[in-house]
Amino acid sequence: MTGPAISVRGVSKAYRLYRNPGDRLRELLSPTRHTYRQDYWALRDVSFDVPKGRTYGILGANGAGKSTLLKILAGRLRQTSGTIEVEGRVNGILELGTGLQPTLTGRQNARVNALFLGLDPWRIEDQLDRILEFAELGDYADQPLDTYSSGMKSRLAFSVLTALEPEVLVLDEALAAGDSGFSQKCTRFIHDLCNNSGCTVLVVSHDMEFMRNSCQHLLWFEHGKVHSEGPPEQIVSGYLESFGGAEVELSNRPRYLLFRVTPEDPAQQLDYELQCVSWLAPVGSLREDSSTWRGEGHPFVHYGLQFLGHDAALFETFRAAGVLGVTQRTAREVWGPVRTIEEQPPYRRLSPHRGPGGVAYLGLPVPQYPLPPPSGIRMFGINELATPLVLSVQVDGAWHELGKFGTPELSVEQQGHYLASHPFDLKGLMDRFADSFVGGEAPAPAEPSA
Amino acid sequence: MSETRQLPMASLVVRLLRPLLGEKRAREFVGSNYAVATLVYYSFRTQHGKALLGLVWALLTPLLFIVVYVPVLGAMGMSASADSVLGEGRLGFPIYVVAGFVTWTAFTYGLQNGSTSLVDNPDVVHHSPIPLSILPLVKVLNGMVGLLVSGVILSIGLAFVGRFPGIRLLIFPGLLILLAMFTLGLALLCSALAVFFRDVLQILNSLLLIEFFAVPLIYLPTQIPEGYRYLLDLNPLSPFMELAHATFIRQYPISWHMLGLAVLWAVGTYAVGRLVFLRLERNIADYT
Repeated sequence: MTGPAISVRGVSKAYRLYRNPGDRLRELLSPTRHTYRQDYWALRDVSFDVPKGRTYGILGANGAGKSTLLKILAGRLRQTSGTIEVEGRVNGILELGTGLQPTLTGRQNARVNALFLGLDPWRIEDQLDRILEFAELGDYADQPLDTYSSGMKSRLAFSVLTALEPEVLVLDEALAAGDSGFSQKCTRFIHDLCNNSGCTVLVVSHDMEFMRNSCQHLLWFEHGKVHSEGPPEQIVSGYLESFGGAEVELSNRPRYLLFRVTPEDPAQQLDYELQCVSWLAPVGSLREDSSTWRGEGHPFVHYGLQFLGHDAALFETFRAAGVLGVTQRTAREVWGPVRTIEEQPPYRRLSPHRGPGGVAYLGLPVPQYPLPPPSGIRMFGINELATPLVLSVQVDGAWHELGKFGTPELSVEQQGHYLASHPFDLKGLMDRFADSFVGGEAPAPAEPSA
Repeated sequence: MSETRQLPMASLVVRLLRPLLGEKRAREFVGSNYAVATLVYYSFRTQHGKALLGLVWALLTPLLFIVVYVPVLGAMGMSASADSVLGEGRLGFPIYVVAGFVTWTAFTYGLQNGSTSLVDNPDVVHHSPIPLSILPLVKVLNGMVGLLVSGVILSIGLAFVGRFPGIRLLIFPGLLILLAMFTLGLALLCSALAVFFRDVLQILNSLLLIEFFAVPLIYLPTQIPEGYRYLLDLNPLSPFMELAHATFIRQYPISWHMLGLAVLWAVGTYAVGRLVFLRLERNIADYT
């Protein structure tokens, strides 16, 4: 056994919170050095080592400081105190698809994205073919990105990371993308990277299966500290037990209907996904064929809608709610009882420091804001939630609230939640939360109109 | 080596620089510049890509500007007095306005987009290992590429009407470099400050609104009353405008005074912007 590749010693990170920008200016100009800020400690005195070539996992609820630690390791944030030593070239994948531009083609985006991920410019042209081959986009590689479905975008985004040849890899929920076939390919890739490449990996995930199978050691974060660490099996079971053995109250479970999307080639996949969106559309403003569904609801096709990234989390969600046609007042009324966000300082005031799990945490409750109660069936559709979201829904403690999924009225018998996604992502969710799992086929695609 | 096949231009540059810097540093240098160039190229493409007329807008916008402004200014009697000074007949003033306007556009595009480049791209700021200063740099260079394209088109246009600037075009690269440094300095300064105080962006826009009239763009310096002309020397952008005018108008006086001022402003602003950016850089990701 050689020395550690990552050595973290007594690392703490404080985010400075100001009530408003004026306070920041006042503090800056204060002759008496009076402080107007509150410090929020995202990490407190964290220490651990990762030996060379090993794969360590970090788990913990949203807001436990996991993403902050990874950003520090990737060199993006600076710790407030403590030391970090990393041996070797670090690549951090903290988010898939950094800097993607809708007007550029898949190939061009792969190039830009690879540059943003820090790939050696000399190797990009060589790697480009490999990236596109992995993404299996076919002719779509030279189409502009705004013609892509969300699944195809994430395939492209994931593929870029296959070009990196890291010595130390830091991964935040970026384990898989796309449909089940592709997502297995991603999982295999990550698994190989973790086990056979000699690369040192530190990974944050809510995918307990992955944590059990691919990690040699787990760290459990809670409130910015290492709660405990040890062999995967032991930590995972301890973690799951910590919120009531992962059991959810049966009485409040919503109904789900699953649209299965099984594409063979990308073009067909796009068709299917558009089809699904249009099936979901009648529930909301994209109304296409109201006769399909009775009742009202709203479609929810993308959970990060209108998240600007620099606003306080509360307002981010209001904005997202606004896009769905929910007034701020309604949102505010419902938000309080539904979410525990008010007790989550990092999310309330410090939106930019969310990891991917945090964005999901903020984004998914948004469609729970009720529209004016309609008569009859109420439903909303969710299209293609990104894998990290679903995984955090599955296991993150706070997300066990999902069992109740908002207000009790949403859980009345007739109400339905319609999710379009790839079965791989949702099977676990269905098994766990849904009392009637309709493993339905995708609605037959309509004949292309002449 | 495979990259010799893949990046022929870059490999050529490396071969040229090798005696100066050594193999490794030359490759790093060219590699990072290649990365910036790629990002600028795509930024430029994105800027023009969705428009039906694409690059044609680089020519069309200044022409529309003439159509709107020149008759108005003519009615005010400004163009007549200008034409006699510029010595290009009736075309003098329109050429003057266009030369100034393309320069102004490049400056404001780079400055405005550069200033918002950090706050508008939190995902890159948080997740990408590239140096943060690349974001404003790319936008500023994007503006300069625009100016280069406009300059070429304008020169061709001038050749058609028999007023090709000839040898004076040698000033143009100097203008591009100095203006890029000046704009980059301001963009670095504003982009970093905007992370902490978004007000900077509003203030910037207001200042640009004033600057549009404060800089000799739709009037000649000689049209300013004698007693107030010293104000031009205080306006940091006016020497760059002078350079632009001197590039495209054959009889426009070239003053070493203005060239000196342009160099001073460019170097000084870049130095200040760079220093402030370096100072604030470590905290940018915390607040974006």
